[in-house]
Amino acid sequence: MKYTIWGILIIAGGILVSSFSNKKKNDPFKDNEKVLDILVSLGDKRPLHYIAPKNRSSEIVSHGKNIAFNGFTTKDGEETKIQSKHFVCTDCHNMVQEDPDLAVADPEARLKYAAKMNIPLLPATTMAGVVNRETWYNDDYSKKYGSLVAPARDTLRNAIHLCAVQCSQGRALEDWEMEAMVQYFLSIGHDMNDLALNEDEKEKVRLALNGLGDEKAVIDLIKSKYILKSPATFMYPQKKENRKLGENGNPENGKKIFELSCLTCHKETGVTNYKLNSTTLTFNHLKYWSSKDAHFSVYNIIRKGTYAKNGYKPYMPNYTKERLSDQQLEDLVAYINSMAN
Amino acid sequence: MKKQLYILIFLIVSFNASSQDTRVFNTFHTTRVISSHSTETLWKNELDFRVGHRFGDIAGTNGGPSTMFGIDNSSDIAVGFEYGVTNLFNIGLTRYKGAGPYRQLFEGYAKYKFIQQKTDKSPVSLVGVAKINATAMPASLDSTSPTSFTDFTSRISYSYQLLIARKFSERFSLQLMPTFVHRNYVAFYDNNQTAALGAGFRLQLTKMIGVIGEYHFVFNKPETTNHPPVFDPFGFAVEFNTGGHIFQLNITNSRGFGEAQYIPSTFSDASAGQVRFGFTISRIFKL
Repeated sequence: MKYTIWGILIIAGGILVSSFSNKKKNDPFKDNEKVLDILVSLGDKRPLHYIAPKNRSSEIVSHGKNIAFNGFTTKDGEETKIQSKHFVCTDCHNMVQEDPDLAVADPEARLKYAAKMNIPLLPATTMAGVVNRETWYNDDYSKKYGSLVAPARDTLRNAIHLCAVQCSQGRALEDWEMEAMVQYFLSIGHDMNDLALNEDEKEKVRLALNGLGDEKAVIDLIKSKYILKSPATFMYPQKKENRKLGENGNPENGKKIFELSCLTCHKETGVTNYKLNSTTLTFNHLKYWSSKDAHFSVYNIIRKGTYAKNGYKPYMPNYTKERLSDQQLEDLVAYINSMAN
Repeated sequence: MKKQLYILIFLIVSFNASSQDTRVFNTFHTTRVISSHSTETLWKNELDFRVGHRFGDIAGTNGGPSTMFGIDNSSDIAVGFEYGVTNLFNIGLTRYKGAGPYRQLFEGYAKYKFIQQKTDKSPVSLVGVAKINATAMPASLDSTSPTSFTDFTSRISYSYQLLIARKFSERFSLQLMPTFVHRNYVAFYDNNQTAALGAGFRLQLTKMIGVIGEYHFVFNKPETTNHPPVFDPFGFAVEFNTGGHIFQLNITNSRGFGEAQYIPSTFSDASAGQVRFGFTISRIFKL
């Protein structure tokens, strides 16, 4: 009996000590843990795309990354079938943080950040943190894709599927490919140190993780530090009479937009047949058309984009207000004018 | 440790330096100047569908208003597919109606880019093109005719071209094209081998519109009264790049497409109005 009591006490003590030591180790900022994992451990509802860390694999993540960047991966020594012959994910999406403040979708701030970090300024939102969002294909995307967006709005896997077959004009992903993509996106989800939390807020998170705080309030606090949806407001092209034709535009900003945005797809090795470069011929052409209501006018094409057609599937996505502001459009035109004869 | 770090930094810097893309693109807009190939190659997995048409003589006895300046007649028609096996290696298969002595032609070609013009290295691009042609026309019963084929090999002809081009500026490109044609079976007074030196240019007027020209000096024209006179082929064209299609409207004195036709068999005398309108449409698909 005596030995039994001692045994129980030793085991209980061991559990107590180990649990304390675990909690001390669990500093989400020191280990830069994934925001989604912290939210789940705080008791937040698990999103459908959530996969527990123990079930994630670096090999599967690398397959997902390969598909995102190249459209295929190498599995069992063989290249897999390309997902789309027209686009890869990185043609339209960055895979790194693109907003200096994750809580704000501001195209002006994004341009400065993109120029500083030397990353493209693309028409669609970054996939870094896409797993931290709660809705996808938001707002005006229903104008473009109609009822197709309904199942994609609350389920990331459905959103990835829609992107694969509609946006990239490719085939549907196989189950293992979808899992690989989800695992890759989980791997580039927000880290705790990406969030703009001050020291007091960080301490609240630590306490809540140790069962010493209001977990619901901390969940809300964490979620307030990044956008839960990427807003999408479609714009009509400005009417000819309302265009300022670059009059109040900033050519320096316009240069950044031209190089980080336009040339990403329209450079000689880009995805489109319509090539642009930094020559007078290109700028003369863009200047000539900018004042017109025509396909080649930057005012029209940036806001309307083009659509995939039978026989020619590559198309240009439209830029929403949140991806390129009207002022940035004027900046671009100002740059074009400054470079044209 | 420090040394290893320096080596790593050096490797990264040198990799970035060497990976900088200094290639010069768009020396010409398509894989052709007018009749001849250009130094442009299709990119890997691109399929170029090309349709070309050469009308009848604008003036002279077969031209004028009665034929709508040649529009009512067709000298040659080309329909073909070309494919980028790699960024540097292309193959193609084209069917020609045929405009010389040989009709119903099938042409296969292979094209390889040996050197790409680069701003920091090579001043020119260098491309080789090898073609084989076979005619499917019925053999003539006249044994003196160049089409009185006795076996399959007599239906075959070959052409080889070396293309050397330089893009001097965004507006101006120039190409030299030594060409050699071998026809297995020709008329008695004709030559099996024909050599020529061609030159082509592109003058880009706007982003979408360019003027191009081409001329070939044929070295060993048959000099006999039993053979119609052979002229040096030339052509001028306006090229429209719509961003999707490349559309070329041309005027040439050669009736046929393909080097085995227009190099040895340009019989049209431009001074007698025997030049013709033509067009080519190119549409590239990604496979």
